[in-house]
Amino acid sequence: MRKSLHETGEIERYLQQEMPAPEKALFEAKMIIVPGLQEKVYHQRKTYQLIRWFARWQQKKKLEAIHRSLMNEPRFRESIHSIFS
Amino acid sequence: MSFIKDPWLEKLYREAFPPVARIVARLGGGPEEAKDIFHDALVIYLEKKYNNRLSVAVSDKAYLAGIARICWIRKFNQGHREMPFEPGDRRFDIPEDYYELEKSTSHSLLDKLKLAGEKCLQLLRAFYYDQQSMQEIAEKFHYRTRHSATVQKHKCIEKLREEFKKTEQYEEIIA
Repeated sequence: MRKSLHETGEIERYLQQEMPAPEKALFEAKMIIVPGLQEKVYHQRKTYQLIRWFARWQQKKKLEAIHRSLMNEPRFRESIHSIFS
Repeated sequence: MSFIKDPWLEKLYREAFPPVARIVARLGGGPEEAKDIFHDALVIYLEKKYNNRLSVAVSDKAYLAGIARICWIRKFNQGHREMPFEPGDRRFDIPEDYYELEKSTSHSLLDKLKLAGEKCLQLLRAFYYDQQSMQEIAEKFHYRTRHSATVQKHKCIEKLREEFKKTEQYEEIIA
């Protein structure tokens, strides 16, 4: 595996809290010494968050489609409208 | 966009939406708000389900109603009403970052990154969000081995991370 991919994997294990304590301490020391590493850790953490947002956005599109199809059924639509009337 | 039919989800939607709509109506919301709150609650409920964080003692409808109440408070009604649950009741909690996506900056960031790598986002979603194994992902995305799918996953993380950095720098310049 390329060196940068190895680093990406290492950052991942750090962020997912999969490192044993000595390795974690070593990695934290590396973050202080290696230029740019801390920034990469920050952006990778944000990337995981973004994946969650992307997934939620997709889930909502799927739910919108179910909503539209159920609201096309007269009985279901009526039962919902009656709640708000 | 077309979606694969999901009869289980459709059935849950059919049964659980009316009770949640009644809760929202009682809290003073309308049909659109009821739909939004229900979708938020359902997304959060499914996350809990896939992460095995659901208690068997609570029915899915009770979960959705509980989460929906919390969503309502967070979204429309911050601090105005009493919390409906005891502090420490984490069954219905919602992820810290859930409503951050509603900020316009988060949306524009997501849009830019979707253009940069939707295929990567799909693969990463399968692993990190849907908790699929690398073996399943290799099959789904047509990689010959588990190892090559894993390499691709790391490449995708790297690519998105760098895109993220660029986009963030750009946003700082135009801000």
